Amino acid sequence: MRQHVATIGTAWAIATALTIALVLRAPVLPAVASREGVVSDQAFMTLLVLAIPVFFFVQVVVLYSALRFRGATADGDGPPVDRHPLLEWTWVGASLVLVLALAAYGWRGLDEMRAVAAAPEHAAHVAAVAATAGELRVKVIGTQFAWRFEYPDLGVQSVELRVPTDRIVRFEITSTDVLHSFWIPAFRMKQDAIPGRTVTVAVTPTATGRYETLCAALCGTGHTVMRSTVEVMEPGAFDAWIAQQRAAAAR
Amino acid sequence: MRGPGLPRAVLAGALGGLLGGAIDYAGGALGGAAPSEGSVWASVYLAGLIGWLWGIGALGPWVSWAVGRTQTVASDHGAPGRRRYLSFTTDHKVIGIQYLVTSFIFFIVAGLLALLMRLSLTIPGIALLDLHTYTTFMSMHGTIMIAVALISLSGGMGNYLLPLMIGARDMAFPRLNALSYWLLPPAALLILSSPFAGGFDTGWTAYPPLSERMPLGQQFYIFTLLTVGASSILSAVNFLATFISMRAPGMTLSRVPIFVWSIVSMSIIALVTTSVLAGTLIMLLFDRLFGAAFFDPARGGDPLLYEHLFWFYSHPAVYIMAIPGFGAILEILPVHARKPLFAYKLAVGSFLSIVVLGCVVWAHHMFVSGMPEALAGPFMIATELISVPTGVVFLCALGTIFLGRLRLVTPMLFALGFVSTFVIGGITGIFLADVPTDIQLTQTYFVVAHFHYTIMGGAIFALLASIYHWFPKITGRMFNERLGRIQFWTFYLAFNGTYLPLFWAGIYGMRRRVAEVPPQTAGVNLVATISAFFIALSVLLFLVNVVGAWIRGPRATANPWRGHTLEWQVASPPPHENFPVPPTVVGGPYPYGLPGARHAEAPEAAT
Repeated sequence: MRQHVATIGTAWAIATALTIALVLRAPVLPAVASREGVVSDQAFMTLLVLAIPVFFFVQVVVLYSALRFRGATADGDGPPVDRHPLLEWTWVGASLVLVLALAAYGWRGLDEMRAVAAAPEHAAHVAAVAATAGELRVKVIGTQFAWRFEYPDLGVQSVELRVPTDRIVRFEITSTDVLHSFWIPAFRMKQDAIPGRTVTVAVTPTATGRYETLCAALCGTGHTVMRSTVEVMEPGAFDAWIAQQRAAAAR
Repeated sequence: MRGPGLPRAVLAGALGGLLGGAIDYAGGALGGAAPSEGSVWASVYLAGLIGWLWGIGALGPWVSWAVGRTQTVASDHGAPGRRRYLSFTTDHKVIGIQYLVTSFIFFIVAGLLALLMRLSLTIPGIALLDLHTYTTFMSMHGTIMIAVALISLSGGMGNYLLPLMIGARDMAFPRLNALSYWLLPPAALLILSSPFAGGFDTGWTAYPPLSERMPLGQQFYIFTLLTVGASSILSAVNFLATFISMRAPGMTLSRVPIFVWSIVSMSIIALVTTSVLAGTLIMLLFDRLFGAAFFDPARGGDPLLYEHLFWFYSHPAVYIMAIPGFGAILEILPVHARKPLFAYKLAVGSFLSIVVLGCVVWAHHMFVSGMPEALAGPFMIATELISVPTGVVFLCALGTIFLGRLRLVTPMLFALGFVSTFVIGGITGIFLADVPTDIQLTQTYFVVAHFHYTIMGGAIFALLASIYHWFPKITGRMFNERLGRIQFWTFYLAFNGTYLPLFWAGIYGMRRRVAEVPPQTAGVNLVATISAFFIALSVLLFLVNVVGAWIRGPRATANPWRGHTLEWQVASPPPHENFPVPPTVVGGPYPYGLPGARHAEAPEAAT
């Protein structure tokens, strides 16, 4: 008995340690380009590291039992052990504690990601915050099967999305027809677009470059092709682009 | 043709449909309005369904009884011999086999759709299927597989085994039981014909307003789910009534086999939640037919309301699929580990906790939907809490096999395979319950991989384990063990080869429900496609094995696995009405390792 537990424990510890060492070195996640995205990625890695011991515990016990406790065709049954209150309640208690800790961690992560996005329901409040906090408001309008964008404080409309780095960008997302979902994978940000309603979500881009924007909610036959890009620019370059857009609109 | 049976059912169904359609059309014309296509087809289906049920023989006896022509509603043994499988019969064992075979046929149909989708994804560009065909096939694959996972274990194995395991001669309401099966063929015909009515581009979730703009094919989806839902409610009532009132003397609650507890738990969920889905779909139908504006924002409706109502059923539905799988696995493991089920009472408690918790987690499907953010935290906690009772299932499984005398026959391999794959479904569920990671992962292939690990790695592994385990009991013949083991290993490896890479596809930005593969995920998708064909090969091996063995396999004894529960104490296959002498239960269901101990006084010595 003690021998079995020791072997299982050793195999489990080795497999877990090696795999955790591996995933901490391997590029598990694609490049991230927003401050909020870092929170999401940290949460992913934490959950992954916690999942590995659970995964190996089950696999090791199954594999060990299948190899070591093969009864062949012998008529004898195993020991008639059908309960072990201490083990049972330890198992339930430990999983409960683990789960509540995960939930608390998740709740904190959510608060962190949304710290910049309080009270999204009230347009007037949102406008007031935007005016004082120096945020960039961008209206995102989904229509089968493309997005278009408006910069209401800057008087620019565009089919192209460009945003500056290191500034809170508050997307005000809506739809003109069916449900869509505005997803920028590199920002780890996704929000459904609901016709007749505006939902806001804020992100802070951190790295310049061109990233995909995708519709993530099945919106009809053309859902597959409802994708474009966002360009994250240095603030100076962004201002120049805005000026250029305004000039073009004035002509 | 005059007696009840398939020919009369088909004819009456067709005539009923024609009549219903004609009345609707004429009524519309008389009222001065142009009859709408949707309304005419709704009448065709409903009248056709009633015609079909009358034709097969489901309604006649009730009508006779209701008008006082007969004193009782007799049970109905259907046609003699093999033809009884194609006729209306109240024998729970025949109905169980009808459910099993029907759901397996549709498992294959929806599986073939999946293969077409995998091929289309793998061939660069959008070559094999155009966008609309791909999306319709994807939606049909989802809808059919959901129905298969809902009915195969519970309808098939539940109907066959529950009366046997509790020592009953049949279900409490045998005729209702037959009705719940015979509701399914019209639903199957309907979903399969939806591509000819324009298909539907909405996935199995059918979110409005999109689903209100879809062609007639969407309405076929609505009536399919309404019919399957009605069948599900009827069979849930029946299981509960049978469990409560038909247990053999001595079958106290702590002596009930765990599989029976899983069917009971599943039935409670189905009974509580299915009618919510039915109501929701009827609201959707009224939006489509009459402009009722429940969900269409352009008319003042609310699409988020649909999401809440839909998931109020459809998340618990996951447990309707999963709990019978848990029960089957925990039933099979003790027999082949030669050890009592570990922590039986905790297992029953965990099923019942899942029943309760499963009903309060639905909004974790909606973290990015735009619902009030204040709901996110509580639903995250509730969802993660459900991993405590699910973890108990693992404790019971591992505690049972540890120190056992394992007999690694095919059903045992599938049961161990279940434990090994379902844990991946479980731990990846935490990533989707956690809001910060879910925001990124939801609506991607990570979700696709996750739910295939839970539903296929759970319910389908359990289904295959169950079919092998109870095959000698059901058919009286033994399958080919060597072929069974080969099939297990192909299935296990191909299953993991298909869905494990798809987690990476999701992490690297592949959205679910798209008809093309993003270039950065081409490699993992190729692996998934190739593996998917090995799943198909494995299913083919399974069919060869069970069909071949059913026809001319060696005769099986009454109790080839030396199990203690009641189904093993009667002949293989069990006689009509199960027990020549009613059994008396004298102990727990798993007295392994206790020489001389028994679950029941055997009414008929097992050979």
